[in-house]
Amino acid sequence: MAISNLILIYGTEPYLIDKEIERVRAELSREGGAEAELVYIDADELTAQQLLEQLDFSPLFALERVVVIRRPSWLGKTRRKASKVEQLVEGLAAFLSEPIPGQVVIFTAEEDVSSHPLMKKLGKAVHKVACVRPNPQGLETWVKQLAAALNQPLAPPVAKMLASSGQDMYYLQRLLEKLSLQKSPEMITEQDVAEELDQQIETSVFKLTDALLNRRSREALKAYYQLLRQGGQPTFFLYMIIRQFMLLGKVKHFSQEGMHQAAIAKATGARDFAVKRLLSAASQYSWDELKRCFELFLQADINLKSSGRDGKIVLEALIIEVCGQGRRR
Amino acid sequence: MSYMALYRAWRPQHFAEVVGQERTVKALQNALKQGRVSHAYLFSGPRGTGKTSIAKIVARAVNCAHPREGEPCNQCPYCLDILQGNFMDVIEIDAASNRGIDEIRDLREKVRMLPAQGKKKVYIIDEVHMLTTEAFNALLKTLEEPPDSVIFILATTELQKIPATILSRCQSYHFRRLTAAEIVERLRQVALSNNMSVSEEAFDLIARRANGGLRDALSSLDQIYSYKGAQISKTDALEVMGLVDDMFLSRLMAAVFSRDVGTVITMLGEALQEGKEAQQIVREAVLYLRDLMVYSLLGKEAELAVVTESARPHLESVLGQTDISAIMKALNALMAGADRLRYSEGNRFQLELAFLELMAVPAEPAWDNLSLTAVSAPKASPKKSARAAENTLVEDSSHSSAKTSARKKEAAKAPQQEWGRLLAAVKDKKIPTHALLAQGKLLEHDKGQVTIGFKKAYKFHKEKLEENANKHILDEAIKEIWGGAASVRLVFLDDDASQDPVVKKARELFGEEIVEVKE
Repeated sequence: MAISNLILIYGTEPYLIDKEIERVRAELSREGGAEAELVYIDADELTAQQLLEQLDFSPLFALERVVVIRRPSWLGKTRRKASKVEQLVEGLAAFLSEPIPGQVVIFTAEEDVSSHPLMKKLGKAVHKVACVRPNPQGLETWVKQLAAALNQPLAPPVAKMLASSGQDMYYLQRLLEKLSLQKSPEMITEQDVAEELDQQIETSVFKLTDALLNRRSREALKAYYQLLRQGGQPTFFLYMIIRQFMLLGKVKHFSQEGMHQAAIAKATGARDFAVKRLLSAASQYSWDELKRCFELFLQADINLKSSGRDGKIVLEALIIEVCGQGRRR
Repeated sequence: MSYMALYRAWRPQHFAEVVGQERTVKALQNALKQGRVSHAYLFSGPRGTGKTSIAKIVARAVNCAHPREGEPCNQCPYCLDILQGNFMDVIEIDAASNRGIDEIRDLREKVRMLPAQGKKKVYIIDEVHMLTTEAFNALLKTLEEPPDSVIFILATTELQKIPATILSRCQSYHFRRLTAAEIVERLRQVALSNNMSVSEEAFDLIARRANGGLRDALSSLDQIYSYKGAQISKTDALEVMGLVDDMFLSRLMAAVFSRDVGTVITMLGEALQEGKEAQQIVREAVLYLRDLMVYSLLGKEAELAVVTESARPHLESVLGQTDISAIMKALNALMAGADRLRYSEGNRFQLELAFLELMAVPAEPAWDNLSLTAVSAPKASPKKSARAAENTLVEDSSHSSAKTSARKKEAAKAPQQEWGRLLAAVKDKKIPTHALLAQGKLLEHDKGQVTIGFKKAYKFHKEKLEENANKHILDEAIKEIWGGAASVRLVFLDDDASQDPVVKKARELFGEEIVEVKE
């Protein structure tokens, strides 16, 4: 199939977009018989005139070339109507509507920008490619293929764990490469992956807040120490704790109003599973206890920001006090 | 040759010399051996754990003329140039002082040029979290289109500040804090090579206070060595590092929890006589209480800050004297004492006061505060209070708080009504006098005595009211509404409460109008 001279690749997975660019380049090289040059242009840095100059191609070092214009800001929704953008679009549309032999121009975007004036003007001359993130099963297969390419054995649950981690594909690829370098020729185990994913600060913060909500002081302290080891700051943890307790208060209020889980999720903007967890924690806190918790948070906030106290100790004491409240119930 | 600080002299030059971080070292060595070096690395972790040292080893290893098993030879011209900082293709950038878009644009331009001297250009960007958002975006574009001949090594102590887009383009390695044992082992090597004689307890102390960072530990050893020479004892380490002996703290805290005032005062006096600073004693006592608090919950899993292995039995015996709630209260009281001490000149007095307050802390559990807030309004005998507290915990708490607030409102209503009557009576007589009086607050009207308070900011209003004409109008109004003459006192309110940080914070959050300060 002949390659279009003008391609729009869009999607939220940079990994897939880059793979598509590679594929186009490889195909162009195969058709032309020599390796096509790959040029990246930062369109945000250039004026319309400079951009057109850079796109004006006459073969010098290579017979063919692929020009990639990554996520130009003017291709986004917010800046469509700026006069500078309109001017640029006019010039670019006129220039690109006539294909330049040997050159393929690729635009990338995070979303489908077919309704953008430039794309409308170029019409059918633009070949659109959507890069859609695979579903969990597809992602699992991809992880297995990557591991096979690295000759890296995986324990059975590892591929599924990585696929369901919510990380982008570049991250997963780098992680797998790293684990392979650390473990090869041994197998990558479930624990190896869990340790890596646990090192993400968000994961540990939720461990801390969950333990706090359930008044498990040992667990909360351990999660807190892990966060400190990861280099996090007590003020950030306090912010996250308060955010979670505010959500707890809202969930408790709505549940007392007689709302069911889905309605609470809608009203609070929280996810279903989070609401479910908070609902069970909510029954463990009376309003007076919640009020007392917020008094403790306020005091900790003041101590962290307006005194010379050691933030690490302030948070340790807060964790123990919050967990300790339930002991006499 | 000039003296080189220990932490610089002992910076690891090979992967084999790196302390801790085994998994990171193994992965990087394998990458170098197998030719699988990534174009971008992100090293994160606390300070002094080896991020920059390893980045420099990688920079040498990729450019080395004779690498062996992933290690640089450190003898070829390339390695030597890098070691001496003369190598053109290893560029160290401090992102804290080069954090703008212009610096990163400049970097992007230079990245396109091929290495001038070696095989690979290595950019080590330290404290990368300090870059601005625009600079990060520009850096991302560079990481997305990396030239083959360039390796980026980004180092940061604050991983959470790195955008996810950058994170996913780098192979990320987390550098953990070193254990005290790992630090001690390295310190021992250093001491041996420098003909130092350091006691085990001193090693332990230095390692523990380094908070997992080898650089800090080596700096401390260096400092003690400079002051005290080659023979280093635990006392020397304590003295130079400005610390207090954990055994002393154990005895002090034992006396505090058994409320032995005499011993506490004597011990504090002795410590001051020995040249310890009051702030230092309180700071260390806070850390001891923190150790006590954490140890009571986590036992041997606890990472202790001041208590050494030899003092652990004493820690356990102090723990036997008290409970977690008393420790929490003591900790809070002592931290407050430390705050006061920071701004105080009468240090000895403040120090003693801080410890006396510690001993005066009531013993009821800290988490009972909750029930106390719910039932604190009516005064009752201790037994009644305890019963009421228990009852409150079983009944619906929101109901009880509503009742309490109703009672409080009822109590507050009466003086407010009286004040309203007085204002109305004055207004009838003379409006300007009413305007002056309206800024006040009725504090007392009883037994022929009326006291009206003014905030210090309303000094003018108070003084004007004290003038005879206005005073006369006020006296008349009082006589009318309360049926008799009264002696009127105009006083300033003690509005220190408005300076209270809690009040300040509340006003910041909810606004001046909503927040009312009550005793």
